[in-house]
Amino acid sequence: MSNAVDMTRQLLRGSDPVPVEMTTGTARDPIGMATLTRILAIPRNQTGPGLRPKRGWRLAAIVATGAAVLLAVTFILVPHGGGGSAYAMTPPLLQYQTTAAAPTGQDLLRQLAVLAERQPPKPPGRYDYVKTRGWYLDFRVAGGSATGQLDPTFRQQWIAPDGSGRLEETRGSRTTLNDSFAAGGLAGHQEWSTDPAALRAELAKSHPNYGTFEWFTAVGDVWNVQVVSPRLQAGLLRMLADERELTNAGTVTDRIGRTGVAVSTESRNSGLNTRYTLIFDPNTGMLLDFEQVLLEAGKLPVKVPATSSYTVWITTGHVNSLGDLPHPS
Amino acid sequence: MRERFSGLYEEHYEHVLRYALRRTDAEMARDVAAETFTVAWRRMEQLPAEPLPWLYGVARRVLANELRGQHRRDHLTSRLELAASVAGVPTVQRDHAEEVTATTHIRAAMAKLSPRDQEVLQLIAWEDLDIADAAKVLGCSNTACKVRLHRARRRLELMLRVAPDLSHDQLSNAERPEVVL
Repeated sequence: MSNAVDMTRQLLRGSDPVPVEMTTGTARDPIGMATLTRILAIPRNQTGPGLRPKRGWRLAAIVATGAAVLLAVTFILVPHGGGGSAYAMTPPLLQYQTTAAAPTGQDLLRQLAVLAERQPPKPPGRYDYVKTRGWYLDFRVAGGSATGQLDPTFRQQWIAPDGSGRLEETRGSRTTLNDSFAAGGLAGHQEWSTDPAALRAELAKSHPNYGTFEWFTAVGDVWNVQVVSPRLQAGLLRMLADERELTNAGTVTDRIGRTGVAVSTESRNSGLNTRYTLIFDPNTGMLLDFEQVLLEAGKLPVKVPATSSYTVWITTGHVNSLGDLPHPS
Repeated sequence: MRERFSGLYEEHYEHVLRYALRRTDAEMARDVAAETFTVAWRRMEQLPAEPLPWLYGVARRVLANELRGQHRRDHLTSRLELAASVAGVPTVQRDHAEEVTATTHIRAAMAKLSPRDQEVLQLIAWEDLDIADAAKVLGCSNTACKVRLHRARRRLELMLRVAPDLSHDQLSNAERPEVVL
């Protein structure tokens, strides 16, 4: 412990206004348990701000107190690795093709921004509809075997400007979420600035400044909850282009057969070196995929490099009624 | 994943709630804790091996947003006062039987420091973080955090030595901390 730390603690000894006993047991009191229940009901691949910043959290949590806390997760067995080692299976890595003449990642993003802002806006409608496919590393190790799931999660959401809407989620043959939300229940469309600097400042309010990967995440977060207009996408691309720690990862065929161009960055923020990749439509600049790949395993039973998560944006568009699907563009 | 998250929640909820309670009222503190763990749930893949500093970092942002929202609603506080409430002493003062004059004096001195100074001091003394973890919460380098702590402690010591009613405005320019929101 450094001297400066000790001296500070000595100086401020006794000044803490909230002693430990003041919060003892709060994780398991009715509010704490109801809050946990409500969080666990949120689809995990909705990485963005899916519920409005809310003064009503506590009230909603209290209402939910009677609901069962569903902790059970279905696992399927995956094979042992060789030599007695057990490895969790992960989705295959995407194959990226690079050329020497490729632009830098920053230039690529600026070119995509020009393409994006030339796109026509999507037809209007009451609800923002977003359909995604996702997979997120999740496993257990017991008795020398690693178990996990390879089935991707499919999610559809319809969110109105008042925060009402519907979420549907399936994994394999299981329906994992099928819920409607009253006004204020969901946070969807936000009017973001399209100026890159202003947009960065707005997104920074909910994204700690941990590095370039955080801005990749921020872009995915925006796409997760709303239909992104061409102008907003151009702003997001230009905001990313201001990041120095990213590279052009090349061209790729994504998990549903679309051709894309990609930029990547790496970070050890999670404790393990991880590559983050955003894949864009080369003709429109729109986001297609967000991939995360572990480059080191640490104590995890995976063979690296290993996909640790991906999100594929399948369809986004405006519709007028819950359950409607946007017309193909 | 749900079990992992439930374990994380069980282990750290009280810490995060206490972080929020030190800086705002009880109702908002519950909201801040809930929102912080919602972010954690959605981003489990990104959680570091030691997640508490990461959680504090998220709580810090959530709290700042909540207080900005409240600020917009209330139109009551100045920008500087808002900043003080983000990083500074709780808006709801609590009395404890063991509280002594010296403690009150420390809090009064703390309240006269800039939000930046208060923040780093509180993370070290109240959240019990070391330099590296406080730097993670603040989003700065270890060196920058160490310098920030050193300067903040020096200014607090100065405040504790001088008359109790010496205001922040009376510090020399050299001692005046930068206010960054």
